[in-house]
Amino acid sequence: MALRDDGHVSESRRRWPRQVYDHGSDPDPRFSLANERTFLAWARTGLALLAGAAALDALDLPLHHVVQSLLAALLALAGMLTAGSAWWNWARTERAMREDAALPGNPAMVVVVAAAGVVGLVLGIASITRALT
Amino acid sequence: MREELVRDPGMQQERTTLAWRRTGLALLVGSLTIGRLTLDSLGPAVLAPTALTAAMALYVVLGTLRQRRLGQDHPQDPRFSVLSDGRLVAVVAAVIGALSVGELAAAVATLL
Repeated sequence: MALRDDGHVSESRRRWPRQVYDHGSDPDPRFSLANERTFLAWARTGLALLAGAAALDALDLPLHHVVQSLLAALLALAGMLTAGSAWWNWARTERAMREDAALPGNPAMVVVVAAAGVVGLVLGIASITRALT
Repeated sequence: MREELVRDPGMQQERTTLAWRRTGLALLVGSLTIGRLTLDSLGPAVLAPTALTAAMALYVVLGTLRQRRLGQDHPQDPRFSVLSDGRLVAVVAAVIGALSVGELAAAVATLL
């Protein structure tokens, strides 16, 4: 990173994205680090959803194969939404902290949790049905 | 504020670096696993995207190692934190998005 004599970051390496860093001023770095860790936690959650999708796609479960593929697709979509909203929320939070504004919520996460709930419910019902018959 | 950072009572840098590293390693494992599993349903077309996402994951891991050294040399300077802006954040989100697309394609291919 190029530094000018006055200690500011030179124009040759502008911080990106501009929608975040062109506004306000740097918050306490510890808050930015906490924002990063929140993003990374959601990133790993998205990866876990994808692991579930891969498992549903690969394993032989007591489910109709169409249902199993649909559940896998649902988890993959949830993983996609998690990655997108994690990025979007990181940027909005960073900008809000720079502008000393109220921190935004993350409405997309309700959808992700609902998708995981649906998959769990279907798998649970399938297991119980199989155990009873 | 600078002096507080030198002490870093909450181990913020340390925790954040570790979070980046385990996320990078998880991305690497996830890329290779999903690449291997989708190879059966989607064929050799997945090889190039898998190599790309695995390389990006490796970049995240190696990036945290380098940034950590910089952070140790300049503990009071927030610019040498694990991340200076949103670029690496976008890389992580992009890798997960790409893996989602691959997994979705595999599920649809199994369905058809």
